[in-house]
Amino acid sequence: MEGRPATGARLRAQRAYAAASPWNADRLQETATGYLFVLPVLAVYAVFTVGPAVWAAILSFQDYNLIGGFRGWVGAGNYVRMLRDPVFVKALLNTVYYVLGVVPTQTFIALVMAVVLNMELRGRSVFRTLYYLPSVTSSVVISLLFLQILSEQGLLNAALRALGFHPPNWLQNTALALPSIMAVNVWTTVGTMMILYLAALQNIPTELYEAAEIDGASPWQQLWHVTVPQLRNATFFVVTNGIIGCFQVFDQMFIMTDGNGGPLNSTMTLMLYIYKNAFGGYNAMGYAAAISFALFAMILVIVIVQRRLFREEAA
Amino acid sequence: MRRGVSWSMPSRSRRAMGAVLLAGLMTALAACGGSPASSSKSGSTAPGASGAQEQTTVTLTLSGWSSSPAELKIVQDQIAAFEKLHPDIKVQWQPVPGDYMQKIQTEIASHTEPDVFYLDSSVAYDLMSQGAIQPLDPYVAKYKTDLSRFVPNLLKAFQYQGKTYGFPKGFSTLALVYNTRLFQQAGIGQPPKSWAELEADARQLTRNGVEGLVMDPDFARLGALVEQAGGTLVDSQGKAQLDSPSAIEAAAFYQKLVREGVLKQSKDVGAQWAGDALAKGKAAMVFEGNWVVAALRQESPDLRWSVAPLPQGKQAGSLAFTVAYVMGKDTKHPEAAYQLIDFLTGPQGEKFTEQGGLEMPSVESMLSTFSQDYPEQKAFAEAASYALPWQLGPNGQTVIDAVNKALQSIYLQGADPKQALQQAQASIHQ
Repeated sequence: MEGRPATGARLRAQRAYAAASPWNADRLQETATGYLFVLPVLAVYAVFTVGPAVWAAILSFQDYNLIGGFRGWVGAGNYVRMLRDPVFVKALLNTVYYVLGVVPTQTFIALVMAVVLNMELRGRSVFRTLYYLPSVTSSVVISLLFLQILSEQGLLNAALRALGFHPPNWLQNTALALPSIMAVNVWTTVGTMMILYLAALQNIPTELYEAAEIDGASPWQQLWHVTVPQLRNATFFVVTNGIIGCFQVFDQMFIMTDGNGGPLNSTMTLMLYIYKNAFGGYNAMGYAAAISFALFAMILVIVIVQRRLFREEAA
Repeated sequence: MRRGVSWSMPSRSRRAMGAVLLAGLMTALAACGGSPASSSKSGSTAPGASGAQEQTTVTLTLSGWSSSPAELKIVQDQIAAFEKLHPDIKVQWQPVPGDYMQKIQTEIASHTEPDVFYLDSSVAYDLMSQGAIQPLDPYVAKYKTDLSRFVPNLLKAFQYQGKTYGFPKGFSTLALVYNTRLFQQAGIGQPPKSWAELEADARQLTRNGVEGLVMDPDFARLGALVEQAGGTLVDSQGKAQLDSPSAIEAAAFYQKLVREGVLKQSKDVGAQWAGDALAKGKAAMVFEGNWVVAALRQESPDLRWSVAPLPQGKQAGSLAFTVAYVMGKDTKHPEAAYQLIDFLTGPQGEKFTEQGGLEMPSVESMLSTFSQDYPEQKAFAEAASYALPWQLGPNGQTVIDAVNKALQSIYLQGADPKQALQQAQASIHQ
């Protein structure tokens, strides 16, 4: 902390010096060193992210599959095909439904949990750990557990039967399969969101609460007018990550409903459909690439709009 | 039992296990790149000086899946027997854990596929029609291989436009597997022989928490009913025919049994698949293949069961699930690869398959020996003469998923069979 102004001053001096003579050897060396340091990351990023993304963009205009290879250019054909493909439309609707259901729920629950666990409670570190546990568990393991819990003869139904209910077959019911998986996902990710909120909560200066208290604000008013606005950045992060994560949901569907989109495609999501087309036997890598770009565009637009909304609120 | 293949044991736990393995593999693969494949290739071509060395050893890679130690042993024994006969050819067995076709098709795309590998009939059409595997005809002519040794329907699944692309390594058929104790308790002496008897028996057997018939809304089972109703799975051009009158009749019969409450899908009785429901005592009858035998013995050794031919409609009908050995298009040793394929699927190789008892030998003359060695599986062998190969033409997986969704809507929502199947047919011809 203390060194910061000094470093800044030195940097400014160096920059001024360098600006005076652009081909100064010191500056060149500095630039070279800088690039050398980021080179490993850049190289990995180029090879494993940028390269495949560019290649996928090219593929999305081709009739291409893994076993037959390149079979001709189709222009925007793959993109037009999406509009006429009922399974794609179903996957899109399911994904949107999933995002709208999961993101607000998990954000709200995480906030409540964080506020409660930020209070002086007995054993709160135990609860913090317990709530965070699902988040550090592999989603595959969690999906396997819930596959057992939610099955026709599973734990949940046994409990419900003991209470005298006639429970449905959760994962085989077209209306319940997706909400069941949504509930599992909320349970899994809420811990991560809670930790983010907890960290943000501890950054709120206590003076604000003291001032609010002096002004006669009730605890609820303090929560609503001090805590929530102060958490804006954390909320932006939580919601954005929630949306991106939910748009890309895959493993839960892949494992809990056979990877086939569940009963009547009720758990078919965009990622799962991309997978089916690319690797899952549908032999349509080009189409899969096109859907990937559609998904990318959707997430991009949503995040941009959301950023703008948050900025406007801040202004 | 068979990884990444939809027809056999559709157990979710297996898929999940595959996913776990995949997740682990992903990190492992990222670290070691493609070195195993490339080293074996380069190793095999190293002594390339023509004729300089008398004993030029060729190394072939052979891929498949292997879901039990018993299955693994059969392949290993076959390879050992082949290597003994061909000291100049070494065979490297590279089983694929997890999703089999996913790995194979990526390898095909990157020209690193094994020299010889398993290929399920349901996806064979695409690989044949898109030139991803080699036709075997030049070698059939050269080595004067007698193709009439195979069960005829099986070989057809690996033929496209007059060329043969693979030799079946073995097969399973569907038959009626039933719980004999439940039959006795219900006072039924004989397994059902017609649709009417099947319906009546199912009604009689459905009681005390037992379902008369457990059958998933899956074309890999209902396809048998389609043939029994007088139809086929594909038209004369080899394209899927999902809305034929016979298919509609089969789906309507299925729906009738569902409506009567004498047929349920496995997941509605808390089972992973129909065979599991039989093992758990939740089902009196199921339509399953040879794989059910090992599963029943393992899961429920005390269960008393028997196998009978499927009941007939207008005619006898069953499905044959088969896997072939095919040759990769990029192999550097087509001659050696062909010799391996021919050996594995010939009388010498098939002897191990026959004795293993896990599936039936593809060599027709050995079926009677199989029935003698495994009398409890006789009904499966009897279906060999009429069972249709499990293949639905181009984009097999897409077609299978489309028709299965239609069957689900019939099962879950009481959809009209004709409409549902016509929709499925329309969706695959986009």
